[in-house]
Amino acid sequence: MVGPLIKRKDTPELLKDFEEEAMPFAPDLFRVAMFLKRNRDLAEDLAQETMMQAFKSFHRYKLGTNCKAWLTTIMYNTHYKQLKKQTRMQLVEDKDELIARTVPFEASVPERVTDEDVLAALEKVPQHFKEIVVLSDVEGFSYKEIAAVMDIPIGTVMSRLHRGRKILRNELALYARQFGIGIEDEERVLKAKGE
Amino acid sequence: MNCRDFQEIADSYLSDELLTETNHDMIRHMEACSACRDIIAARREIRTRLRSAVIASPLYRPDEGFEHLLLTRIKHDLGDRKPAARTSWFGLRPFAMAAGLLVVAMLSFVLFTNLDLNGSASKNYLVSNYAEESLLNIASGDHQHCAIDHNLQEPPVSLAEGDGRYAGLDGVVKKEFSTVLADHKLVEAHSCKFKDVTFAHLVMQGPNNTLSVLVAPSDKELGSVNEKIAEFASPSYRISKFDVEKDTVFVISTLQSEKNLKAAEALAVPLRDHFTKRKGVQTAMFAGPYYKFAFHRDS
Repeated sequence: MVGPLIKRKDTPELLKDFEEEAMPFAPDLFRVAMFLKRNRDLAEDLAQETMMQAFKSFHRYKLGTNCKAWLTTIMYNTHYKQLKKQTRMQLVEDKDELIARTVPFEASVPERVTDEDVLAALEKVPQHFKEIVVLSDVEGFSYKEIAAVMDIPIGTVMSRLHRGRKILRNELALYARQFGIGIEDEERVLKAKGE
Repeated sequence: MNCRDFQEIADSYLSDELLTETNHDMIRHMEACSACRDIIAARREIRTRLRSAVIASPLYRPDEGFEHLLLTRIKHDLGDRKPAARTSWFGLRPFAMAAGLLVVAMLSFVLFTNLDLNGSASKNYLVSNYAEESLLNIASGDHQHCAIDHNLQEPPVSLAEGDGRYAGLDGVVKKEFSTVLADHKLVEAHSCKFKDVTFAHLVMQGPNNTLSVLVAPSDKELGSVNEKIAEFASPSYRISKFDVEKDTVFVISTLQSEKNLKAAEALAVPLRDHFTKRKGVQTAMFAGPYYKFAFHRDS
């Protein structure tokens, strides 16, 4: 039995689709790349490499599906490849995980903090947690999408997100305290309620 | 559900990742517990603030023109990947191959050495005053078709593969533009052909502007070794032109005339120096679909 004949698009047509579907996500890719690379030039290179790879594989992309998740997955693959080349890939549970376990309490969100305070607090979150917090809370990916993008189990996504957000809240609470902004931590709420 | 359980899964609730039934439990708990309502509100607030802070921060925003730069590279990459229609010459007999190359080389060398380098320089002219086939118009056409539309008939080749005299131009341009055009980046340095004229083409990308530096052997009508920089205008572009040794340099962009001229001024002396250093050697470069051939001679 002969399968359906698929007419492969020619290059100008592919380029047009690519411009419409993928290019609008270039700023989002750069943002994620900044969190991965911590350096503007390297982030630009990573976003660029991602787009080049994406265009080469664009004939495999199904129009109308989640293009941003598809591009981000390519970006992570490219990033991992670069890390492997640098032979610095950490294969075991790292210090970040251990630090997270020692977080003493969970605080509620301080009020009257500025954008700069929020960004400064985010900077304090260890890299592995920060990446996932950004993918979820800034880029809006679901747990399942993050697991696919990062090629890790969904349980790991959930636990890292939980820890990452907790650290972020605590950092914000600590930051706010320095400036005398009143906060009440969630642990205290629980204690007051006898839980 | 108690408050501790609630707080454990509060984030998943906000991310809409809970089962419907658990969602109902959360809502029921919030109806009865004001502290947990506050916690949900606070966590929602922090997410909103985090998202808006990151997106608004210039640190996480690419430079202006980043998307255009990406597209430019993709399009040029496409050009590079087009099949070069290479058929093996190895199967041919060496003598026949050498003889063929020699004939073509000699013919091309005659053409190369007969280039008329005399003429008069122009200033403040409109491009439309010049014949369609003049080097000035061909250069602006190359800028449009290569740097902007990426639709040249022949894919560009690297500077090294093109005319050997133009090797190293990218270094000069990059260095000189680092101050006068600090917001522009060198995105391409190649040799390309438009209307039978081969140019060394350096493309700078800046915010809302693509600038081309094009270098080609001088033409009869406009070319002359003139110290002055001539300015031209077309409906779309500003063009500054000056001569160096046996070549003409064009700086073409949508920048204001003054800025375009300033860019050309920054290049004039360094490029003259660059070409003077190479004066001792003349190179004729010939290319066909299946071969490239360079001929050098002392001047």
